[in-house]
Amino acid sequence: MTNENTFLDNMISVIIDGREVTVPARSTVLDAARKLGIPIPTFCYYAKLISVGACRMCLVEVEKMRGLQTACTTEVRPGMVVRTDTPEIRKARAANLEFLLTNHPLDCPVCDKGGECELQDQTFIYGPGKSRFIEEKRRKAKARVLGPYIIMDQERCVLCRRCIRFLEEWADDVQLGLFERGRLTYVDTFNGEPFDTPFSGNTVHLCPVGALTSRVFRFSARSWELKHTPSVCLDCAVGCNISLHTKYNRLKRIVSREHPDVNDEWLCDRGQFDHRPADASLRVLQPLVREDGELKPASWEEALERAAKALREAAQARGTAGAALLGSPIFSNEANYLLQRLARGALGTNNLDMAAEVPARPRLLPTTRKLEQSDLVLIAGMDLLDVAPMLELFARHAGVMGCTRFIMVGTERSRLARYGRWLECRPGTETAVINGLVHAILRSGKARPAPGMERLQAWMEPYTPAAVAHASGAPEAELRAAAGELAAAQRLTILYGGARAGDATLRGALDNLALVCGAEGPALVPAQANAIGALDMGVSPAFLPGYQPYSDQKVLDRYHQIWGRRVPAEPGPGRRAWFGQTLPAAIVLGAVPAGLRADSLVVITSWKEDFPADADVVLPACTFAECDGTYTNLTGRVQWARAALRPTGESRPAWWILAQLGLRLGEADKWRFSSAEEVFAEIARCVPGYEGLSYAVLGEAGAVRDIAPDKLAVQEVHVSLAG
Amino acid sequence: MSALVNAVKGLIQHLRAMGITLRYLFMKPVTVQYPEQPPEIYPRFRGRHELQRYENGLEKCVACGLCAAVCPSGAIYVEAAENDPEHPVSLGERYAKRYEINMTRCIFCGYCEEACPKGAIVMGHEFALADFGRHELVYSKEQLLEPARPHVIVKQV
Ligand code: SF4
Ligand code: SF4
Ligand code: SF4
Ligand code: SF4
Ligand code: FES
Repeated sequence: MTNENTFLDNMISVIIDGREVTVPARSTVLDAARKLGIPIPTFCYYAKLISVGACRMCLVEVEKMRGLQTACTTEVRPGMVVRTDTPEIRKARAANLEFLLTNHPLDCPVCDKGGECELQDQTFIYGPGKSRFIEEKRRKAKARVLGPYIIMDQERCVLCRRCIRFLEEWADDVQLGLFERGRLTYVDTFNGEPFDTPFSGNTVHLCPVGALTSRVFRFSARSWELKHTPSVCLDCAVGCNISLHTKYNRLKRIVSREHPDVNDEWLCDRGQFDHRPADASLRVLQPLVREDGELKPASWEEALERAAKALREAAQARGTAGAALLGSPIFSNEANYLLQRLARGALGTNNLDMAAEVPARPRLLPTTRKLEQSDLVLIAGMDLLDVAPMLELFARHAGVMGCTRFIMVGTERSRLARYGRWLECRPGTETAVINGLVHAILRSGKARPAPGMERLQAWMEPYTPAAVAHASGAPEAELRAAAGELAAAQRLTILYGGARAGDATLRGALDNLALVCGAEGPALVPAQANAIGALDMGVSPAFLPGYQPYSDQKVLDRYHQIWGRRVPAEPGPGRRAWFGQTLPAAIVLGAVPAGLRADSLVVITSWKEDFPADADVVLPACTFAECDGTYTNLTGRVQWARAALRPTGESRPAWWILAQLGLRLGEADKWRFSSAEEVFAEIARCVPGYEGLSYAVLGEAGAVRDIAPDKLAVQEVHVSLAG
Repeated sequence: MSALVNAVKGLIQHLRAMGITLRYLFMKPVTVQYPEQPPEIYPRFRGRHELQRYENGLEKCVACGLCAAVCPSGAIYVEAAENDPEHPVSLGERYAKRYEINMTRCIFCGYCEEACPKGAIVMGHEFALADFGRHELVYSKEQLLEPARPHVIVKQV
């Protein structure tokens, strides 16, 4: 009952245009009107930014208040009566637009914003229709290059400050400012410094007019000519939702798609301006086959036969040690699934692995917005900006808003350290620092109870803050202070990953830290886009799809039935065993790692740079922009990237190539797939955790796969404490 | 009796019809002996398009693509590029790197001319477009910039 009362107390009823609406306290009149579906024009207002009431476009009439009020900044009060469409308001809107347009260059025909410009749209709906301004317009800089990706037209700017507010509130990198006053005011960088924050691209869609536009897209199409295809960015494991905008089968621009649990509505510059997937000059255009010591173009039939023959002969001669298969943390789930199926269900070997270090059954973030929901975040051994830029953006936002503090453990200074502390340590001593923190928390008596705590206490005995400080270079006082903060945190999130994703000692130390702090276990931030997906698919010598062990005969029998061949029950040797010898045959999805040598080397890749000169067969694969595929991001969300372009050259989807090899090497009738969707249907049947998923279920928002991480337990982690 | 009436009526009809024929026989003919004789057209006749230039030689088209967007038959292809401020092609930041009209598709509706914010695409008076291949009927920007010399007499109205 009390709950209900407080709830009701927090709701306020107002009347807008004669209709009553109830909204939470502290909502604005604009929020209330939008809830009723009443349109109020705005310029400076932006839902994800703090309102400033700068443009006066949203004027409304509030009873008992003198003059018109800005709906975007006026908070609702009980019993407020608001009108949004009176002759006076209409006149004010038209006047406002007329003012904005007095000095506007009106170069819509050459403006990249044309067709999706808020000023155009609102002038069309609310504008006066005719200009009375006959004087000469004031001139400002046009086509001013601000940074690597952004070009500015200062004449078009309506001074809404959205760009600057984004830099203040989200990117935490205020590189733009307002200069001069009155009609001379303009937006520019400070002292001609470049506008090169890693999130600069977001200002292009934030800017309501064509003042800030993209240099990459510049003049290459008009907004209405573009076809939009929902896709997923693969430049890091966040998997930001994007839309590929194409015209005449050419990629013109990458635009963000909103997803509250992935990228909100932002993108980083790395992802937004990466047009490599559509650059034919970097691509393998035809199948290549070694002929007289040289790679020569060949037909698909010939190349597939050659590849199949090499793999078949190696398997026949050397059994399970014959062919080695390397999966890819960048290729789709479909391709990786079929690669492991080719190994286990056609060649009869578990000699496969992936070109990335990722622990089995990794613990993941539940959502990318977790950082904003935490009061303290510890980041160990990686630069978030480098590994997962979108997480960095959310972290900076959380820092600016004052809701989250950060403790960084590592060698590189991060901007996040301004919202907490940086335990600067020497390379490779992160684990020692974490042990030191665990030690200090155990000593402080604030450790949460957990099974095995006495053992942990004994193990951590040597890691006194003094010893750790000596060994790592992290100041002892900082260590102690950080330990105090960690022990007191209510909602602690621990992140590790990047190049250290496979570091078992670091992970063990973080497990201990999570236990003593009563937090959830450390969440992995992998460096590659589909590392989690490829691992889920079973691209590992150590386990079957969905992390199932080889020991379960029922599982092996089921796969035997579906894949057509008996699956061997012995784990493979793993890729470390492949180096330092010449393998009989190897098939590699993606880039061939340096030092991998094989008598027959088959490479499935999109890129020219990916294979060494001594490859024997190169099978050109489509990029994610050219074929359907699903990818599992760092929160375990399976997302569907759709084909937006026709394949470049003769390239084919990787799943098709692998299915063709399967046709030749396995039981032919088990390898007839006609689309990526069919492969995914088998994934849903065969990979535990992916049950119930299909392209229809994934739709545009994707769905989280259901795989539980290992349980947290104390770990015996020892590292050297030599200084 | 009635047969006789009918015959007379028929004869009158015939004489009437012959009268019309005779009248037209002595009227000025509408057939034009083209190409010896130029046809007469109205000033707003919609013939083959012509791209316009300003007096200083700069092209009027800024490759905004509105003509291509409005064209009901998808006959226009525009590809934009950025002007080099030292050697601009058009007035403004952008110009048409390629501008093509497929005359086999065009239905000469004139919407493109109406949509153009720069008065760059104008329907001229040239109508004799026959050619030997379809490809010759895709007019390039250079062809469209070339003012036509139509063999016509423009009526003064
Ligand atoms: S550049 Fe764009 S976003 Fe920035 S103040 Fe001007 S109009 Fe607003
Ligand atoms: S944060 Fe990662 S997924 Fe998102 S746009 Fe950047 S590189 Fe792409
Ligand atoms: S005249 Fe009509 S059909 Fe012909 S190009 Fe112009 S808009 Fe298209
Ligand atoms: S001819 Fe006119 S409408 Fe067509 S692209 Fe050029 S400026 Fe735009
Ligand atoms: S939207 Fe309210 S003042 Fe700009």
